[in-house]
Amino acid sequence: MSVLPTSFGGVFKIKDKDRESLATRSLVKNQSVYGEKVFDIEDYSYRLWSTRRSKLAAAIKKGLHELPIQLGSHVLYLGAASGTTVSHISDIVGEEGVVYAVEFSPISARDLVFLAESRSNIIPIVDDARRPTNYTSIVTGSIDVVYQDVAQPDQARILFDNIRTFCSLGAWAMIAIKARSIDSVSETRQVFDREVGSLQESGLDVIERVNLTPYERDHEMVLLRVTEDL
Amino acid sequence: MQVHLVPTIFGIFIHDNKGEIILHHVIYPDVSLAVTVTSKIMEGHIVTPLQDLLKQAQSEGFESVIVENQHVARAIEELGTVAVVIDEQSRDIKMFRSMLDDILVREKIVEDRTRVSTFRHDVALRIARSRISEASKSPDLLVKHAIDAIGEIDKNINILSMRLREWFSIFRPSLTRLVEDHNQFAQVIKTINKGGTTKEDLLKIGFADMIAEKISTSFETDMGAPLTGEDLIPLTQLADMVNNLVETRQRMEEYVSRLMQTVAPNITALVGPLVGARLISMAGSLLDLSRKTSSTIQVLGAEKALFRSLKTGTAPPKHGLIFQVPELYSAPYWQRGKIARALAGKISIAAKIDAFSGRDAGQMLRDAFEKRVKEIRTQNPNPPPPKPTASIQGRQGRQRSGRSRRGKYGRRRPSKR
Repeated sequence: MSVLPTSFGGVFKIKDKDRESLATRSLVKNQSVYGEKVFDIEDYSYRLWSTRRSKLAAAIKKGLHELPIQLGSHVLYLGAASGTTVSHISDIVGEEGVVYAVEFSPISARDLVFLAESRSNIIPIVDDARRPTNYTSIVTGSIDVVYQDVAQPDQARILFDNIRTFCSLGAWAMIAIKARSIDSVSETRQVFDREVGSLQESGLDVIERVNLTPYERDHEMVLLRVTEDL
Repeated sequence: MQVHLVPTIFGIFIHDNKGEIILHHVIYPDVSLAVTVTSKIMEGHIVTPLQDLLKQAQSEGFESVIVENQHVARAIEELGTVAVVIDEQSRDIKMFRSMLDDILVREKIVEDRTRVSTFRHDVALRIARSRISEASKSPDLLVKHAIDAIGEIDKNINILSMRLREWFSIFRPSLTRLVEDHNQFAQVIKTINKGGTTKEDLLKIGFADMIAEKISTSFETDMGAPLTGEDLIPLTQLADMVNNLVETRQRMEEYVSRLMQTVAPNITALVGPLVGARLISMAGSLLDLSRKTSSTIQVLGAEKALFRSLKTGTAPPKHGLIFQVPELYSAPYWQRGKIARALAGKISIAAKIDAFSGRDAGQMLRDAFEKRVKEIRTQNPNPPPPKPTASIQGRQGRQRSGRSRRGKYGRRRPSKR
């Protein structure tokens, strides 16, 4: 078994015989957050990062060119759910970085709170991502990346409202668009184009689009950048 | 002068449009104070630190304060000392917030960046925990779990009873036809194990005279293996399990009925506790149900048919879960759509009352619904004439090309939720 770096800092590939999977170097030694496999290699623990359970992992596997989430990044994560992807982002940004994890459902947030107890760089926020000013009292300091995975019909609007509240010029955004929760009838392609179009209109630059088939059906990950003063 | 007011977990700050702090009230390093102050302000309540700060602002002669959150504005308005303006997109406040971590250290409010991070982590955790506890108090969560448990118990009763019937048919195959009720069937098996196969034994379990007679003769004449030996013991144990499950279900049902009387009395009066509880469970919570449109409530539980209809143009479902209401399932098919619509409308009203006011309007809604059902019955006594296109040929055509058919009626789109 061997660990190889990828083009993204903090993201690794673990090679085991002919199998190759993504992994992050765990911030907490020997911790398995959601039942994923943990390998101890040399001085570090590596947690396997499943493409089936995390859309960010799927996007990387599908050839994402640029990942703004890096060592030391300040990330605002909307739709954190029980913290599966959040835990890997926490690994990547490290102790110097921070992940503000927003989740509205108290049931999902329970696991998120358990996770945040063991990791000092995760700030759990149980609140509605539609109302960003409700959590401005906790989120102080600048935000580098807004990551969103909320599966709501108005998800583009929610993303934009948060960007406008927290980000300034040069900040990044990643959005996992779920076509089926926006429009259950239209062609997925059309839905993606419409959503991306509306984000562009509000002043964001589209850097990259990655379709997540076959890991997630009817999903697209879009990487955006704030290039106008909002 | 107009100033900006920014409440944070570290303290409450008033700054000018250059981002310079004019007045502030520091909460750091008191974690529990930060938790209560933040939660209170975010619920629109007044807290002493905010009150003190605004008094100071008043004596300094500031005309109004700008805040970016409506809850905070409400809290300040309640106090009435200084005029308040809401600006959700205030650039000055955004700038101030984004620099706050540095400002805290520079102004020596917090010792260093590490303390900023740990304090934030501690406070956020406490707030998140209290939010979760708060949400766990809501009694409709109990309704949801209890009604879901009833559903699961039902499934188990069915599975185990089927097994029991098949298994026992090795010995006496006709019993399964004579006794339809699962609970009674299980009771018969337990009696047999004790050696009771006479009519008197069966009468004791509560069978009617004629059926008891039939069962007891079937024991004598039926085909199958002899009714003895330890082979009957595992069947008895299984039968015991079925009886227990039925009993548990009954108690659970009583529990749900009692809960529903307090959680959603109006829905309960309208459709009964069980259907009402299922609606709440399916919507997620009473609040979620109250926010749904009546057309959504009408087809709640028929999602498969609904999305099939949206995708391929087949007929949309007339009813979902609410089909279990007697007025609906006992109605002839051509009245069901109309009744379902009327009922869903009333449920939606009842849910809103239960969620927000708690007023007792259940009987009124129930009466209105029954009146409407009568109307529908008298207005539509006969089935509609068959549509000319609904011939066998037409049907086949629809299945093959649902898409092209849609053109005839115009493209139907779901309304945006």
